[in-house]
Amino acid sequence: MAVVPRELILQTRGLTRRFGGLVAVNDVDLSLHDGEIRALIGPNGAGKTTLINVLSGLMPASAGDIWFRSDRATLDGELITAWPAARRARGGIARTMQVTAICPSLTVLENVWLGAQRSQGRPPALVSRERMRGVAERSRECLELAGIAARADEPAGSIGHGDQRLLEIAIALALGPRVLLLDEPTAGMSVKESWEIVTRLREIRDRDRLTLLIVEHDMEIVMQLAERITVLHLGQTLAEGTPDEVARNADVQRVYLGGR
Amino acid sequence: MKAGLLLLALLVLPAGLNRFGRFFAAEIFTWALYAMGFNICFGMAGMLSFGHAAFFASGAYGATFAILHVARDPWLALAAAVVAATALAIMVGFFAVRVVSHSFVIITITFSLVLLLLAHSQKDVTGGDDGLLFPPLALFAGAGPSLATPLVTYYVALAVLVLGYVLLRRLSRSPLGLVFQAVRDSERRATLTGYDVQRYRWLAFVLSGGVAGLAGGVYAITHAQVNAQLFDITVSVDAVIWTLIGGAGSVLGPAVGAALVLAFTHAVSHWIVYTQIPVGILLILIVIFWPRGLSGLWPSSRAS
Repeated sequence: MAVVPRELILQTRGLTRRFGGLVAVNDVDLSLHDGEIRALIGPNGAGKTTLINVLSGLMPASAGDIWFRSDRATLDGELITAWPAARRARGGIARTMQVTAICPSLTVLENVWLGAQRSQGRPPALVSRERMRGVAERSRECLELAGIAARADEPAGSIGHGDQRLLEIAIALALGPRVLLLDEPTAGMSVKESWEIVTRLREIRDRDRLTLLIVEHDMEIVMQLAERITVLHLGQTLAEGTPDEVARNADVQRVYLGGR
Repeated sequence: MKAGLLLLALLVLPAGLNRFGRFFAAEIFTWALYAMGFNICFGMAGMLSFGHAAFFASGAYGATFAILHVARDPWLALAAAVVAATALAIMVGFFAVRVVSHSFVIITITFSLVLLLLAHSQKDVTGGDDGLLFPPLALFAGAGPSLATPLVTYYVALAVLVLGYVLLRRLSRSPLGLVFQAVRDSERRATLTGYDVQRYRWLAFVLSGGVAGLAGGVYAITHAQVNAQLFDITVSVDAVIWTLIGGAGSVLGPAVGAALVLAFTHAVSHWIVYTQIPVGILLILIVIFWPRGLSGLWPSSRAS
């Protein structure tokens, strides 16, 4: 058990991920405050998605550690570096993918239903699904939050791309997470859809006091949505601070904002 | 409703069948149950197994050993069949579910071939191609009508088929069934939704093997004999063909496929020696034109 400062929910120390000779994430110390909206930005190949993959457990870390405070009441964070992805999802770290990952032949509601039933902490049994009213209610609620309740009974593979992205968010919410990792939630969406997502994400955070870590390319959205920004460059943390601080940072301007 | 009418029809059907027809219908019920069991693995959880003969055969042998060495009780024999096949599926599944797609196909074939060779080589245990025989059983451990009576055979096979169907339908509508489908649809999504994919693959594989073994048990008690041929890969391939023809997307699809192909094969066997040829052509046509199988043509049938 490590003593993680009380206001922190997720913390990494020396987190590193290598692919052969390439160090995609290099000695990153990241501290997420409970309830904040954090943007993770950086040029292509900076290691943003790799960092999210390591945080969500889809990829093991090559070195370093991850602590997570799954319960507000406890003082100490839990060391979750060795937890497999499914356990992290159950334990309170949910994520969405850059390339949408849904179950196309299940309905929209069924996709969310699986997350809602997981959040109740019971393994799936041989009972009738109709009887599990609580799970169905929670699923509906998450679909409402994501704004796709009207699509509930359609096969998830048949709804539009934007709705599929929202579905992923709904599934993640159904898990009842404390930290939500969003890998380019607005990728491939229209400007209008993107701003809708921004509004919804802020609503969701305010409602459930979630912590959001968002990889995003659109600087306008980042500046609007994020309370703090972490800038990655060549796998390392280049800068961190409020949007204003980051925008004024000379290093950041040099490698990222000011062009080449 | 649909299933209720079908059951009613099957309950009165023997009145219109002769001695052979009743035996043949029981044969169809047995293989239909086997195909439905196979489809837990294939249709629900998305794992194409070419080794399910091993579970059918181990069920048949499990039942036979119980009859020969424990008691001449058909119901105990069925329980032994499920236990034997489930135990085998736990072992095979432990290795098989670690890989997917082509590798999974190969590993299931390999296990099945090893067991076939074993069954042939251990002739003093399995009886080899000659098999093991026992006098026909009575319905209730030594009492009641003989299982060699066509009508009794018919209703016993039907009863177990209905039991299997009820269980599978329940599974398909349960949270567990939904998880199997999620694992089939997107391994990544299932993982990110908090499900340990390999564990659920294994569970689906074991349940599937158990039901296939139950069908093997029915085969044993209704035929009063088993042989090593049951381990043959053709038995595994049959399950795949029947399921593709009948439709993997519903609980009854594979049973429909089994019934259709067996009835068709029997009907044309007077004129055609190689019945695999017309069945193969039918399979190709269905895969091309109705990829969801015959049951997919039924408008109300929802993916199980």
